Amino acid sequence: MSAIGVEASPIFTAVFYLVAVLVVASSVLVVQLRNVFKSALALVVVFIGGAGLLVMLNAEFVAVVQVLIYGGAIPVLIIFAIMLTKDVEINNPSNGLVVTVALVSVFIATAIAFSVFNTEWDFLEYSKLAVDNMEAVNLAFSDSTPLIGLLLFNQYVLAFEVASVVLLASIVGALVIMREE
Amino acid sequence: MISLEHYLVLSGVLFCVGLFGTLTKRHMVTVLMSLELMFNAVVIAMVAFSKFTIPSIQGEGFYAPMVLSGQIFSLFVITVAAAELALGLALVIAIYRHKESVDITQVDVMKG
Repeated sequence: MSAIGVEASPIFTAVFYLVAVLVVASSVLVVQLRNVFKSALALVVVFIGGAGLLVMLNAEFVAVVQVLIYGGAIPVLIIFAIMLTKDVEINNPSNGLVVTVALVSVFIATAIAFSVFNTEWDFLEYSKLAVDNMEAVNLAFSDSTPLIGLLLFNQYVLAFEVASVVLLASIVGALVIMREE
Repeated sequence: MISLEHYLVLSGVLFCVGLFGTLTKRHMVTVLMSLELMFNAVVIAMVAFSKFTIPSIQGEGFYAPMVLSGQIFSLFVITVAAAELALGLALVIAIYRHKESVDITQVDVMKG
């Protein structure tokens, strides 16, 4: 793991915990608020906090994409749907499975935490990579946006094209479903 | 020092909150929002993996930009999530026109 300056500082740790608590608390609000419109607003807080985490992970490009799409476009769609269905006044009821699903969710979260702490991760370390390789890796993280473009149009070009077909299909599908008879 | 485990546990908690919302809520839009929470948890986990773990190809074939593969995957997850949400909300509005309700328990015509 590359300990570059700022990441070892206590302020970085404090900011991480602050954002983590904000994200988890807002996500609980999303599922627990009685007003669906307010849940949508809490969802925006989750996504912007998630973008903050991505910045802390040196993924600036993904963070900007997340702010644009998750922080901008998706909330607009959701709020449109909430307003078009006129159920803002109706609260946000749960079905009869709350206790069971809560237990299952807590169990799965515990299982994830258990397996995370008991796995031997292949960490990115100076000892495992040659020095020039490690420098190239650090360079890739410090200036990631052009390299993401390079990868998208070389190694992952097929997935990129398929993604555009998926988007086209979803546009056409949404229009067909929404069209008035 | 914040390590991979911190991000993974955070992502797991976020995923489970989304799972809870998806399985318990009756308002269709809330179910879709909880699904988005789960997608976002996956995005955070994949970017964390790309930052903290070594790429599988080492030695001769080592190509440093491949450490960004996790970020590329998360971009595709965001794309697919946006497409899925657009379709899902179109379905919500179509069902609302048909049934005057967004209660997911009302949509059970295909129940055996």
